[in-house]
Amino acid sequence: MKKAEIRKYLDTININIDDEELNEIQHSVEQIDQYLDLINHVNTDGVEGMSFPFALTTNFLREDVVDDMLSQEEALANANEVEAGYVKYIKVV
Amino acid sequence: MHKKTIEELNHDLKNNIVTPQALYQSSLKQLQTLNPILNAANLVIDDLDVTVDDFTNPLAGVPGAIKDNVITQNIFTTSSSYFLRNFNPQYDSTINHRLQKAGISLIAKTNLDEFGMGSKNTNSIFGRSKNPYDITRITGGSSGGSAAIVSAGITPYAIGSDTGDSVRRPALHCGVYGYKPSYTTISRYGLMPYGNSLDQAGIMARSVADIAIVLENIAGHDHRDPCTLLNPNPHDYYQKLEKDIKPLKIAYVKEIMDTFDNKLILKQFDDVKAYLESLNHEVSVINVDTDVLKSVKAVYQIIANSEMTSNVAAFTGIPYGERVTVDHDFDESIRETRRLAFQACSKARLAIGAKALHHENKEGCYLKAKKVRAVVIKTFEKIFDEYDVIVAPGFNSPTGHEDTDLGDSLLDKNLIADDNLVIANLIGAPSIVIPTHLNDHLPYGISMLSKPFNDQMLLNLAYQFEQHLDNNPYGILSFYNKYVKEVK
Repeated sequence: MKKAEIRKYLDTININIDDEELNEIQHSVEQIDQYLDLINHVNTDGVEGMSFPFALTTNFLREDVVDDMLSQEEALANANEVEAGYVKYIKVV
Repeated sequence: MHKKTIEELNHDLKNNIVTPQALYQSSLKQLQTLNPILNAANLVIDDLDVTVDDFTNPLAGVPGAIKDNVITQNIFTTSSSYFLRNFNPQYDSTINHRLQKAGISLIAKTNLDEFGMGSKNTNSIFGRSKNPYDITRITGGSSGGSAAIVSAGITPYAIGSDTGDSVRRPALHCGVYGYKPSYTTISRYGLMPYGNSLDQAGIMARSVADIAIVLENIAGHDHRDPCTLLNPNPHDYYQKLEKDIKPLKIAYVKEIMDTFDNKLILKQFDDVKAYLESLNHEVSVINVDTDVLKSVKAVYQIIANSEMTSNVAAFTGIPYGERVTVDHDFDESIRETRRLAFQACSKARLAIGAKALHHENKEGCYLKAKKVRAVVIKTFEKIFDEYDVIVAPGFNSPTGHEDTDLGDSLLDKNLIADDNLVIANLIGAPSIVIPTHLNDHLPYGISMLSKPFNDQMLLNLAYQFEQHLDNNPYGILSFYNKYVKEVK
């Protein structure tokens, strides 16, 4: 995978990358082409993909009661900037 | 004290041979002395007020360590990432909640590859953890710090997490037992997600019984991880531990064995097979399609990294975490935050995930990987219709150094011999590694795999197997003899 391609894919998930890091990871990222080669050797005609190791067919519902809740203070405890009980962020509009 | 198991320490506590306070102080001293050498702990908890006085639960008063991607309330949890370097959780993971309820003395948060993304524990902002058998070598990862701490006699057990062999790989490299239970056995609430359909917490310890003790305490249903509600097992693994078990049908895979070229390991594995037969088990060779075996690592890499790519959505730096802001530019602020948040190795994995999920590639990449995963699952379902357990040697290659190329070479030898532990993650099955030999002063072992939810049977077989191990490596650590005796 070319460096421009790596940048393109990282851009789709909103990640910037330095040139130095790009050089460092290019070889590792290129392995995906070999991975594709390996999975393409397995015949999957008529096979339905699995998202989990076994079928998860049941939905579980719990009683509609308030459970473990963080207080406002706790919820904001790890924010960089807080003002008047809200997370403060840069003006973006 | 530092070679003792949980069972032995519980005996000492019950009989007033040692107090929990003295036990904590002893482990703490051990950790403070050895951590500068091993770099196994991201955080040393040196101000614990130990008050437990009821030792009914074997974990009560026993020091333990938890991987630093497991949330611990009011104890910094970094996941070895710059992004979370100042993250002080306001809630508890189910794992820590249950361990605290059992009365453990939590002594350390352990080093790992950033968010679990690595197999050597070299992808950490704290630097790599070091192997107690040879500190120039890696511990393996991602749960390298947990393995090193148990191996060096600091705590008798540690919690890790295993998305693609991340408990069992470092356990083998560091000469300790490593257990990944069936998917859904241990609640993931508070376990930082990496590959959500693969993630499962696991345990490292110095005996099978100790693994069962910890498992019994942390396993079980938790409505905060609804997947656990699917698990049919009662979680009385220690109570049901039994070495007098009925003969089992045990298989080893010819195509895995064919990729091993280390003659000593092959000879030692022959000894293991003979030993299992001497315990009245039937040991047979089976065949598995080589293309299926070779696909396992690829499927794991595509699925785990795709799932982690989705998890990146949480990394904004807004409600928590380190933040970079670019004036009036929301998108660029997020991009720069993530540039800072992830190390290069992690960005490589995320780029793989992003490519696999991209609309141009999704069908042939991510969706294809899910189909191949289904083929792997069906393949092993069929095997487990006939056999109880699959046994294999640990690794073909010796434990490497930091610059040893573990993952770049996609030779059959690496793909099958050194990556077959990942099968357990794809199929959601229980898997245990057991240290069995020291070759050139480095630990080697075996792995045992069973079908999903067959945890008790697998633990029982491992328990029976260990009763006759006369070469349990933790007792003859070269590192231990070199360093630990200096700690008084």
